[in-house]
Amino acid sequence: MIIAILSGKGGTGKTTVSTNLAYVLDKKGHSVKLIDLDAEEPNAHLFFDIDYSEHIDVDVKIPKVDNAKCTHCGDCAKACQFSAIVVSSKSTLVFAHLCHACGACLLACKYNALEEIPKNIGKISLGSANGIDFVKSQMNIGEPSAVRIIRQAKKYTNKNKINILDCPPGVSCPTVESIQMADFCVLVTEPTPFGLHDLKLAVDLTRQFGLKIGIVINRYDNKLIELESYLEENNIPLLLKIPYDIKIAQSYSKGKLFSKEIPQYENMFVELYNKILEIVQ
Amino acid sequence: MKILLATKGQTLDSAIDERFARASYFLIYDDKTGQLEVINNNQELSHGAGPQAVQIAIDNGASAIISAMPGQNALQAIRAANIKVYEAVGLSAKHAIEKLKSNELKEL
Amino acid sequence: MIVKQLAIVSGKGGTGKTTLSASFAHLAKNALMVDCDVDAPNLHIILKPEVNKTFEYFGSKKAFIDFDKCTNCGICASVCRFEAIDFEQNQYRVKEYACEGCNACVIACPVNAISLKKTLNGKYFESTCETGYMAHALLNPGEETSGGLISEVRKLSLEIAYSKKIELIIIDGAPGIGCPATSSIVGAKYVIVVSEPTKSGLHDLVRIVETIKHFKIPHGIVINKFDINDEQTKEIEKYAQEENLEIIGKIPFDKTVVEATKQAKPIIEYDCKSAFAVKDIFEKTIQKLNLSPQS
Repeated sequence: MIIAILSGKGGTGKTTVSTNLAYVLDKKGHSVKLIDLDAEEPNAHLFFDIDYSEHIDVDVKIPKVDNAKCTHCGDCAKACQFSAIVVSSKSTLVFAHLCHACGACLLACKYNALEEIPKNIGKISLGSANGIDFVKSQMNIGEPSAVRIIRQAKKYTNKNKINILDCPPGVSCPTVESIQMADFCVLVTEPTPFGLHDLKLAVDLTRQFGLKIGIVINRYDNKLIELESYLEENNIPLLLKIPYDIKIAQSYSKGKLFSKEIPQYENMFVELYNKILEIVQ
Repeated sequence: MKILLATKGQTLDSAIDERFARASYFLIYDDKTGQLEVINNNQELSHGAGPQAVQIAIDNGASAIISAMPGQNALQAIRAANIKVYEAVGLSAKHAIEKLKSNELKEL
Repeated sequence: MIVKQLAIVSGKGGTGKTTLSASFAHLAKNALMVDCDVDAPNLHIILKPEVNKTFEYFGSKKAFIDFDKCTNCGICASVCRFEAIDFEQNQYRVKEYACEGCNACVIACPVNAISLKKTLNGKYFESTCETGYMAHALLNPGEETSGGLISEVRKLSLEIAYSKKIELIIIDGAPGIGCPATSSIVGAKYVIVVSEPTKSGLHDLVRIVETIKHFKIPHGIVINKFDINDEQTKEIEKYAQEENLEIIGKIPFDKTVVEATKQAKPIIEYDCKSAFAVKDIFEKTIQKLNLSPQS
């Protein structure tokens, strides 16, 4: 089973939910794999003591100019949609970090003056933390897109385990890539107008792809009428309310799992999982 | 020589724009003939505005650029193409050209 | 008249940029507000702008296959490195959400059946609210977050500022450390980085500061909810000292902020400790910008 955890707004608690859910399910005897797909800013690993077994480079192929053959005709620059090649009479310069590694320039070059060399855009680390399988994706600073790393990292899902995907924030490309083929999407929000506004964007996105969804409200202190009526009117299941408790915030800031530090909170994640199962089946 | 000026308006009286790559206009000024060409910089590019702006300078034969501080990418392209770049935010294009001629502009 | 721009960024999402920006909008005499978080904009929720003009943004291109010309040879799918072309129902088709508009298939197609078409990525707006003018935007869900849309919003804001003679522009920056954040700060006179005392917060702070330093813009740090974690706050202070960065303010954890946000009101309308801190930060910032007193 693949459960994707996402949110429209940053900082609502995706990582809080995915890490605590993984911990509790593992404690209750399930086989769990936690995959951090926030390749720009992976944080899930901060909450566990992970033994890494493998680091895998994620490379793409980018062009390299053979100056002996290059006539500075500029066709490659014209073909490039990302302004990653600048051609003057003196130079043909490739901007590796703007390059989307698409190969269009090679197709355009009539002089065979471009060859492809690997460029590292990030890495995927595999490991485990006390029985929880762990995958961390990490993009190098300055890269234009996390999408390819996310696509690679998703190949490590294990169909015999509960795969929890900690997705990137927002609703743009990296998130879209992360949620493809998920059996269920948990949308984490906060009971503020900000949270609701961004939640609607996330709901629209998951609807575009026909995915099953449910909501977790984080930092819940009392009703936000607008949010709860939005969920009712749109038939979106509310799966869990995590209370606004300063102890939870403190736990998170130290890089600790609050369901572990405050065991009374363990049960909420068991219930979350059970509700997900009900909907998926 | 031809100079590319990144400006807010379409004439030499316009101010140098606070941004290089996303400046409203690029003026190509030929200091020998006094001819002026105006390029509307309507790039709606998500990325690569810097290199694109430098390519415009190259394609128009500019050997000098007068603008705000270019970003990392643009600067790299400017150096590779052997173009000189000068900072002149706060000046009008006309004034900046005069200062360039009297060596008063700061070369980046 | 000189227009001065203040940008508020964070690195990590959710640290409190928008909360701070909204308060600044109310504290300033007549600032033009700009929301550069085009992916998930929030500033309008507090400022409640009325949209006067809407502009469409065509920022990226996607490949379109002309089925009449297409011979289904499949070369396009084989050159596409983004897995964006599928063979479905007897026809090669482009999966729009995966297409990056790279042009490879266009070049490779032996019968010229593919072209790149500009797509509508989002919209941007010129609006007015009770604090003055506002420029903001909304990217369509699923689109690549775009420095281009942000720069259109900023261009618009400068046009408004010059025509309405507004001296101060306050930018609620895009979160993160990539291109959208950079597009939020270029041309600013001063940048405030809002950070939070958590492990991930410090990590992102370091990266956004590096970016700001490249553009040589004066900047200062605000530590939000600083009393959540004394140890992490000390880490930030230590980092600031090592790098010669100024901490221009520390805002305490304050439940009133949640209440204020729920009521869609700026925090400074409440009599509470965080409001006091925010006002102090505002005063310091006005001084940094060399502006006349705003009250």
